Amino acid sequence: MTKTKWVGTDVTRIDAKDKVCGTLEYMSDLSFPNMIYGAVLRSKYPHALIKKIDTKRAKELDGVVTVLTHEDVPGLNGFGIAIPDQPVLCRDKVRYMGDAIALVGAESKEIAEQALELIEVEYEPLPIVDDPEEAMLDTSPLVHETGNIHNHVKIERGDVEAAFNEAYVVVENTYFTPRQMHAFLEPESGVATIDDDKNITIWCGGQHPYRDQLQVARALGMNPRKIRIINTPAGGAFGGKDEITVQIYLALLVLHTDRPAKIVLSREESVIAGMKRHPMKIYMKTAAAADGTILANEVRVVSDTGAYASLGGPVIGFAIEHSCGAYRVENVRLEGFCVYTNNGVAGAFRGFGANQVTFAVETQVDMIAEKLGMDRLEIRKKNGLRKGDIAALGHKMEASVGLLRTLEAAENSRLWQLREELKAKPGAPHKKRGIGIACSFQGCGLGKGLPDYGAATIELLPNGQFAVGVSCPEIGQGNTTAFVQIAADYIRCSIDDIVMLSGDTGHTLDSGTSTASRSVYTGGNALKLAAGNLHSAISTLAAEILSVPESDIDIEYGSAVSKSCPEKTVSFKKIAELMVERGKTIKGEGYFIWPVSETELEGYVGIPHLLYSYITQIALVEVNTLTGETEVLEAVSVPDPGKAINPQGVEGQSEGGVVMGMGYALTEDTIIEEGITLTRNFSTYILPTSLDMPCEIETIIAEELEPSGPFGAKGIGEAVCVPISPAITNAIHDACGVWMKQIPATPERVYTALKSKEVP
Amino acid sequence: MTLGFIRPETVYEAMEFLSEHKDNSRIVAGATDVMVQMRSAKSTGHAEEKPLWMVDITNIPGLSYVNFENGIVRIGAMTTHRDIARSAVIRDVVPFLADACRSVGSPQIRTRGTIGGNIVNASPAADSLPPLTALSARLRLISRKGPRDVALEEFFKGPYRTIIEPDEILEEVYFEAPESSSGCAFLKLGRRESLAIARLSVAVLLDVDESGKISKAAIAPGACLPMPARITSAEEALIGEIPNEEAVHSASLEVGEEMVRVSGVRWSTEYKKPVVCALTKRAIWKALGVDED
Ligand SMILES: Cc1cc2nc3c(=O)[nH]c(=O)nc-3n(C[C@H](O)[C@H](O)[C@H](O)COP(=O)(O)OP(=O)(O)OC[C@H]3O[C@@H](n4cnc5c(N)ncnc54)[C@H](O)[C@@H]3O)c2cc1C
Repeated sequence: MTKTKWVGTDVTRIDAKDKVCGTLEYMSDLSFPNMIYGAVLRSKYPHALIKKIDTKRAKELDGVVTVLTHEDVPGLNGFGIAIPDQPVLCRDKVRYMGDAIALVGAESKEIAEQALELIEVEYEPLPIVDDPEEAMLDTSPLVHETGNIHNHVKIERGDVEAAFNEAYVVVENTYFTPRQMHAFLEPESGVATIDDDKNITIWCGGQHPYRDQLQVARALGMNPRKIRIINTPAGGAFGGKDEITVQIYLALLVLHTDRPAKIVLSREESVIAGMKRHPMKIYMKTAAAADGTILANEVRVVSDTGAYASLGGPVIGFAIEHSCGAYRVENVRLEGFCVYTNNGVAGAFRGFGANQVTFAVETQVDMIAEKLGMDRLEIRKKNGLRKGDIAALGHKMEASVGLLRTLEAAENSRLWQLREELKAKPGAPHKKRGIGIACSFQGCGLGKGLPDYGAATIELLPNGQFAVGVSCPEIGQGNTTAFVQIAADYIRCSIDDIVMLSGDTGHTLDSGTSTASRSVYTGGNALKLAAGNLHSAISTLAAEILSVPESDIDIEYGSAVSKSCPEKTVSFKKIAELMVERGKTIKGEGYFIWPVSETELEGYVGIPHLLYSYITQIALVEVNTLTGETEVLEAVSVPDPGKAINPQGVEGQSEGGVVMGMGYALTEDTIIEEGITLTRNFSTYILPTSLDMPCEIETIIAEELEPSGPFGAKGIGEAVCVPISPAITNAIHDACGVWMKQIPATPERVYTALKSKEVP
Repeated sequence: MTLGFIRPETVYEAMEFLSEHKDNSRIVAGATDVMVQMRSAKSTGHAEEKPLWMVDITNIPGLSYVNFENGIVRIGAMTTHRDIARSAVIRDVVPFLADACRSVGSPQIRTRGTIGGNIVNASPAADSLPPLTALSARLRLISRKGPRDVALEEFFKGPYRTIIEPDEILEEVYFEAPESSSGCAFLKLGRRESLAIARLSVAVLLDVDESGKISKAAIAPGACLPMPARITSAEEALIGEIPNEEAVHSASLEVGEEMVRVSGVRWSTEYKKPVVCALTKRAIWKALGVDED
């Protein structure tokens, strides 16, 4: 591998200073002269027909500039990444409490909100569907006329029945997972402007500026080129800003008023209208031989996508792909349903369907180990995927596979080595300690059948610095810093000489989403190609300057050198000066297309993947047997991100992921009853606080370099929050002998499980 | 709805204003309850009682203090949870009140939220109320008509309801300092380590005489009764006993029974009843000097 100066080192995040000092301006901090404030009228019912919308009184209110309804949407009145089934502004029907009916633009936020109360909407409430399994019945009310089953995935391999018959142990359970909320600090918000030629610019935290551009253009019936989207910086996203949030509303407001506009959702509105993680009911029957070999897995998943599709379809596919864990399983019967209900909306969320099924399968594996009296780590090592293995969907693990490396590093961690000692001294007689372990894999990229590409630009600036552009937005994960490091090592310059451009359709080429653990791999590969093209342009000019043939030019850090006559060198700065003098530009573009798996699953897109990141995580917990409270005392997280471009960045992702997965395992759930969200803010939606974090999270990076990745990198943004959840519930079992089949494992659930164990 | 905002500089000014605008004013102290209530009224769509005048009393001097004189502890209504948790007097004389105030919300909330607001808001889960109830605290209310003193236990009518008149200001809460031989404990069960509203809590105040017998007992649970109250049956189970597991156990059972008697059986009872017993047991032992945590 090429020697690097920046990649692999803990370069300080390029946005650290501004973020720490509070000087960084997020989208909601931006303001323009003469700006109006927007507010959205949401539905009063989770399911109803709209009979009449009367905006007259609202329009008459002093300070109201415009009141818009479906009639004012010039293009397609719909959005949605997979299918545009969600109305921009509802015309005849509402399907959840977050559905938008009207949009007000006013001189102040207060007036806009007041105007919402003056809009009269006549509804005819419809019976609601709030149970996804009931929604699948023919007798159920329809959320969409096309039927309530949005997507159905079914994959069978081998002979499941035979395997169950010959198995030594079979475990069969049903698991339930919660509706986790992204809970980004910055709610959905943004500003927009419009110029005299009706060019619209929208600043809005998001995860794919070019797709936002497309969705806005489609709704406005406008040429996408007239719309510029700026997604960076986003104050957190986690998948929850992958879909359109307020971009179209901003565009409508500026289009209809010719004035700048701003919308900032309140936390309550964000909770009600925004995306969530799909709650799933997972039936799983797993068979193993006496030696621990996993023989078969039968899985049935029902996923609640709420009122609209968004990415519910791909999420169920991804869940099925990951439902047998990071293991070789030859006989599988896997079935998944993605179902419409009136329960909010669910979409992309860090982990993308892996979190739910990993909780189930990693519990199953622990149960099997217990029945066989086998070590929990050994059973994972025994069945764990190796390079060249055939995974559950029948596809070959062709790329780098670091699972074993992560399991071995976890085995050698202090926590695992000292586990008996650490468990032996709980804080009080009524407290019990346990250690749990779990591992998983995480498909990187969009998967087979979906166009997955990236592009990057590098341009030599007149002052000798380089403008580096990758459109994958910075959503807090640190990808811009990684791009700076990667670019600096490919260009061979100092990181201080890089001006990073991110997430802006005006200044960067389309590199796709900041999702699917893909942005570093995609952007990095595109940068590699761009740097190659840049070097050719630099070499041409350098050859001229040094009076040597172009083929004699070598690029070193900071300069071009003659290979034959090494004292002949010219710095990038000097080259830049001459470039200006001669009226030239030196620029490299790179276009990268993702490699895909050879296996094609007919009828499905997005599965399988070629590239996976791998991870093993361990948790030490203490359960209070009197109250059922669980405290996570320590955790170990062993990710395989391929090459860690910025090890400190990987640690940051790892620690944040552990806490997010801990919230999923123990406290977080958006409660929706009869279509109405009850947990509307952070006093009832229980996010962990700094005091709830484990005292120590040790991250051990287990790099398994990926030859196709930039400097060997894959991705790590998602895997870090996945197996920690079952590691925690497995630790609860280790502590006090109860299996948690429903998360979050709240004090009540743990306590109830303990009680029912006492009285068999 | 239009909102008015006024910030009186003196108690007198505030009382004058309140007596004139009895029906359309609301006192604001730290605003940590008031703001949340206004916001949630908005987000649920039905704005209930819409206050017109917000009477901000944070500029009135002399309402934030902790005094200890002649065996009486007096706490000004505007004293924040932070100041109470840090007060040397409180930590020394009634450490369980310091513990309760330290368990409120987060540093930000403790720095703004006042004990007066905690009392008048009358949430069944308010953290200062169990210790204050165990201490048989009294309140001093003032208005243009003059002051009146009421026992804390008589102040509450139900969840979020009290007998305070719209023109009255809570000036202070006061109580007799317990004997120096006494022990106390406050335990709270929340859904997380901070920013956690009590799901259950309990305050215990005990005194043991020279013969080693429990001579005085006050037990006040929180978050499981509609309003603060002492559980006399539980207290009786302890009085006269030399501390022993059986007595502590039966006292704790009384708390669970009383909870069910007053609040009825709900979906959460199956969990809350045994857990409030467990919490009470630990609190009693902690008050007796045996701390398991
Ligand atoms: C995030 C968060 C976390 C919280 N956590 C907790 C917790 O863990 N435990 C807990 O107990 N509480 C908690 N609270 C609630 C709140 O902080 C406390 O009840 C606090 O003590 C209220 O005091 P305040 O000064 O802010 O009252 P305000 O909100 O100003 O007022 C509350 C009520 O009291 C009235 N009032 C205030 N002062 C007077 C006075 N002197 N005379 C007459 N009436 C008065 C007001 O009119 C209003 O009705 C939390 C609140 C938030 C927002």
